[in-house]
Parts: sequence; structure tokens; C-alpha cells
Amino acid sequence: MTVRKSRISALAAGVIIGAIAVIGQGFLGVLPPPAYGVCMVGHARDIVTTLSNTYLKTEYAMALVSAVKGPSLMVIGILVGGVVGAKIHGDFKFARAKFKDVLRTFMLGFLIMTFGLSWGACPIRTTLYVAYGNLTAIVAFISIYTGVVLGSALLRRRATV
Amino acid sequence: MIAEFSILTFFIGIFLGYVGQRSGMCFIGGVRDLYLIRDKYLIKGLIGCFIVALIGYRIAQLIGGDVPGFPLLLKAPGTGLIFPIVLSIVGGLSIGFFSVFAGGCPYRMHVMASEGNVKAIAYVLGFAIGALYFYAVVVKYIDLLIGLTG
Repeated sequence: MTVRKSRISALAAGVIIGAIAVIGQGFLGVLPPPAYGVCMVGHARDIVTTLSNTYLKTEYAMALVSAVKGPSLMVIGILVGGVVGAKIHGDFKFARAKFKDVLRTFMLGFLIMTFGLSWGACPIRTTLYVAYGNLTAIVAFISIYTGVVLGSALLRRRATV
Repeated sequence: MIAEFSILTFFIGIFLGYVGQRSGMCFIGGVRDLYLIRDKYLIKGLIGCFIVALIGYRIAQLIGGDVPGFPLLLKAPGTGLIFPIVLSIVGGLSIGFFSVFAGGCPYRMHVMASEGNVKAIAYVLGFAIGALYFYAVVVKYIDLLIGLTG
């Protein structure tokens, strides 16, 4: 059996993510806080702190919606959905890497979550929150993409040296 | 017992994961590619998401959806303004800078992990442990700084 290699454009993906976030908040109850329809940092935090509070008896904070209605499992769903897409379309492949590189990306994930929680959102929710009109989100949005330009400039400099 | 809300968000996540896998969408990659190789493909997704959210929240508000306080019109909810802005600058700069070296935004990295990329799987583990570290250690320093600055 051959499976058609369907692709979704980045523009369509952005539109879908924005629409899901709005529908999630407006009609499916994914709030409070506002603009929380899709957030990799917040929803992942809700799972981790729920597990920690349940099994390690901690009292770590989480979004009010997850505290009241149960933890959002969106991030787990994204992992499962990604596996489904990769398996159906033949893109699933264990890509091995050097231990040094694995450790480096582990640390980057650790740092991004830590700083993400300091601000309170991932780039997706920051975009949603800018659309919502939040002042601090606009500052964070500008900061995130300033950071991207600085990082990219450093990458370019390394490549040319 | 797993809550209805958890099941709902799980299925929304499956759909988003599938979309991410088929599109390669990345909220960091758009600006990175535009800066490095003048490629506009991914940034269209970022712009599309923003415009749909902007229009969508308004439409949801008009037809009775739950969008409290929208539009915030540059207000920042919560007490104080200086400290949240400092945190948003420090946090935002760090997220952007480190994400370039990680290879994408958290959404893209989760999708890459689900495709079997071992480095991205390590990223997801670091991401989860980062949340625990934040509440066990970092949040105490933030509270201390808020206390000192009033």
C-alpha cells in the first residue's frame, strides 16, 4: 500500500494553530489564564507539576484551568500526533547522535523551560498573547525575536570564521 | 480517573502534533531563516497564527465565546509592571537565543522528538526537568527579588 505524501504549508499550520487556540479558549474552556489555548511551556509545566504534586507531595503551581479541571495533556498529544504522522508517512526514524550533542540539547531544553516559565509562555502563546493585546507579551515577543536574531548572527559568525 | 478536560486537550494535541509533523512549522525558524537565508516560508506561519488569533478572539467575543478582557489594549494584568517586564525581556531573549541553538521552538522540538530524533528527545526530557527545577529553585529567587524591589 502506498501512502500519499501529503504536506501542510507553514502558513496553513500557523492558521490552524491560531484557530485551535481561539476555539480552545473561547468554546472548549481552555482558560484561565487567557490566551492559553496552545502553550508548550505552560501545558508541559502543568503535567510535570501535577505528577510532582501527586507523587512527591510538592505544592508547585500550575495554570488555574489545569488545577481545577485536571492537567492539560496537549503536549503528550502533540508527541503522539507527531508519531502518528511520522509513522503514516514514513518519516519515523531513530536519528542517533553523539553523547555530547544529546547532552547539549538536553541542557538547551532545560534552559528554555526555565526561562520560558520566568516569562510565562512559549513563542506560540506569546504570539497569541500579543494578539490579545497584553503589554508584557509585546515586550516578550520583541525580546524573543531579538534573541533569535542574536543567536542567528552568532551562528553565521561561527560559520564564517 | 482522567478528567474530561485532559482527554479533550490530549486529542487537540494529537491533531496539533500531526499538523506540526506534516508542516515542519516552527515559531523560531521563521525569523531565523529570514535572517540567515532570506527564506520567508516559516515566517508566514507565524504571521498567519497572529492574524487568525487577532481576528478569531474578536469573532469569538462577538458570538459569545469566553474571551475575558479582550482586547487588553496594552494593559498588563497583575500587580506591578516593572518586574514582569524585566522577566519578559530576560525570559524572551533567552528563549529566542537558546532556541536557535536547539534547532527550533518547543513545538518543533516536540514534533522532532516524535519523529525519533534522539537529540530532540533529550530536549523534551530537559524541558520537563527544567519545570521541576524552576519551581524547586528559580521561583524562590524570583520571589526574593520581587520582595526586595517591592
